[in-house]
Amino acid sequence: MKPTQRPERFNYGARAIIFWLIILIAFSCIGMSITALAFLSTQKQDGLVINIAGRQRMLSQKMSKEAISIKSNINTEANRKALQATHALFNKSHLGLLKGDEEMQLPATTNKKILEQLQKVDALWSPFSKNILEIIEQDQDSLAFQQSVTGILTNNIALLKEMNKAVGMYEEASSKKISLLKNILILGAINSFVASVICWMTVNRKIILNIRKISADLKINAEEVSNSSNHISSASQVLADGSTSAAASLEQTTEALKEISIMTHQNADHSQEADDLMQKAEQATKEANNYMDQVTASQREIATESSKIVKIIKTIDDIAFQTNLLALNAAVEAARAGEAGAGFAVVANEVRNLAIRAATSAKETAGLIETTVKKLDHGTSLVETTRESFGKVEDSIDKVVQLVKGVATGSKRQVQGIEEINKSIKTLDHLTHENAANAEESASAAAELHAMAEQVDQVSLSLMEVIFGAAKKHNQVMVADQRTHYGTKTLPRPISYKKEVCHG
Amino acid sequence: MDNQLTNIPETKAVGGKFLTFNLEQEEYGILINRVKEIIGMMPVSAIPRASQFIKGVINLRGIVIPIVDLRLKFGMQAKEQTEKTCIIVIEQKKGEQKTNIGIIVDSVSEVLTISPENIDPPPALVGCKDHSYLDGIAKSKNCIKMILNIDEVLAEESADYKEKIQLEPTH
Repeated sequence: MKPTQRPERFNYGARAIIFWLIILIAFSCIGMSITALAFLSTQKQDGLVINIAGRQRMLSQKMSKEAISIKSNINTEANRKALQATHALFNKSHLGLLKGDEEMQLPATTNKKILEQLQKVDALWSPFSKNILEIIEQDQDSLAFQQSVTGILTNNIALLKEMNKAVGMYEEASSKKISLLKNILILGAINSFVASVICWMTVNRKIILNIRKISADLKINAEEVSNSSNHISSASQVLADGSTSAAASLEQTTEALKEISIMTHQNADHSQEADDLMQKAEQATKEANNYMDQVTASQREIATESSKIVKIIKTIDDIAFQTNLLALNAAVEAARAGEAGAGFAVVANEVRNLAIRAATSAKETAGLIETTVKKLDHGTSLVETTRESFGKVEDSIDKVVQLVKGVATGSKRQVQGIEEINKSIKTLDHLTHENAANAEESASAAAELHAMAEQVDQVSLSLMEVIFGAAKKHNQVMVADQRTHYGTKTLPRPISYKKEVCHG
Repeated sequence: MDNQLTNIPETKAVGGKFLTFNLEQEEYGILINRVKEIIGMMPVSAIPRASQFIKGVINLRGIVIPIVDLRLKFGMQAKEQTEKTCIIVIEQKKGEQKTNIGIIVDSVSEVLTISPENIDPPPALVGCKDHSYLDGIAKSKNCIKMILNIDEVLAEESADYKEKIQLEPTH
């Protein structure tokens, strides 16, 4: 089974996305922390500022009360001193609020509106401060004192109001800062939450799911590798067995080849002998032909002699015929001679009888000669037939000689071929033994492969446990994953897989 | 010799010596004193416009003799001549004249003496108009020999021959 392709999404930037998301979360956390810390530090100062600003209101009224007390001559000296201290404190606080004071740990006010308000306070404070100082220094009855008291009483409430405004503005600014901090914190929390969710989704979608798939594939592949290794193992066993029996067959083949080789050698020898015999037979046939030629010649001579004899016999027959005619004529003459020819007639008759006998003998001889000639002709034709037969025999002998030579050369080639076959069989034997050894090695390798496949299976199980925890059953995950994995893309695969499982 | 010849009756068979010869399978006999001689076959010179059975003439020791093919004369198939084919020269007497005429036969057999009791007259057969050719039928052992009246056989021929070639008698 080919390895499952990893999803393409996984290929680009899962790592980068997670990295940047974690960076984002980290930065937002750090930013929130810094912001909160900064706000907290300013919040502390804000409290101090608001406190001091609030104290200024009280101090303004205290100074008014002390000034009025001095005017009314109630505890004048003590009030003078108190008024002096209060004045100094107010002035110091006022300057601290305006420009900052390290001793009081006050920061300079930067808010423009508050600063403008403080300028207004300052504008009221400058004459108020002079009046206070004159009250402290001048005699109670003096005009300057009286004027100062009047100035304080008139400006007293305005100063308070302006200062109160400033305090309210401080408070407002502070509360604004707090709400801003709240907003920032909420925003940061939302930001972190969203980033975390995205991170989780990314991790889940791009890593866990993939790892699950990979783990499932690993398991499947491991099982298939296991099955395949089993097949390889059994096949190797079969191959080894086959190689062994092949080696045995090869040995038998070698034995058989040895026998064939011996027989082939015998064949070669026999064909050589047959060749010699055939040559002798050829010689004998040639001699027979010669004799037959001689027979034919003598028969021809006999035939010519016979024809001569026939001529002679014809002559004899002719003579006999003529003699017969003569005898008949003599008989005719004798008859015509009457009584006188009686004796002559007897002689003529005897002559005629002789002539007839001669003719008969000649005829018989001619018949015998004719028979002889016929027999000679028959003999000649027989000789011709025999000669033709011998010719055929000769042709056959020629062919047999050729064939025997062919057999001889063929046997030699066979011997060579058998030697080559022997070499090949030795090579084959070697190869077969190697095959057997290789098959054994393959079997052991297949066993190792099987073990490794089980290890891989274990690894995929471990991977599943790492991802889903030990409680979750691996197989359930597997089945579910297979459904999602094969159900859409490759339907036939589970079938083949199941088949292989059945084999295993 | 002349006396003997005259003594022998010319018609109707009596016993005596006969020369027998063959035509086809049949054997015939002629009175021996009518035979002048027997010669072997010899070249025959054909005569223009002669009858079919007149083969021609031969020159026998300076005498021209007409030759009759007896086969054709008897209405038999003509036959190639063989070694045995012979010419029998017959002596004819017409008054004072003696003429010779040759007949071609397949072969000559022998000179035979037949007693008169062995010779029967020719049988009266229906449809056989003319018995003049036969003098009688001789019985010899199991064979039959027809005794020819050679004069009758050759009579017309002599006439025809004379009419046609007007041969002058030499003797």
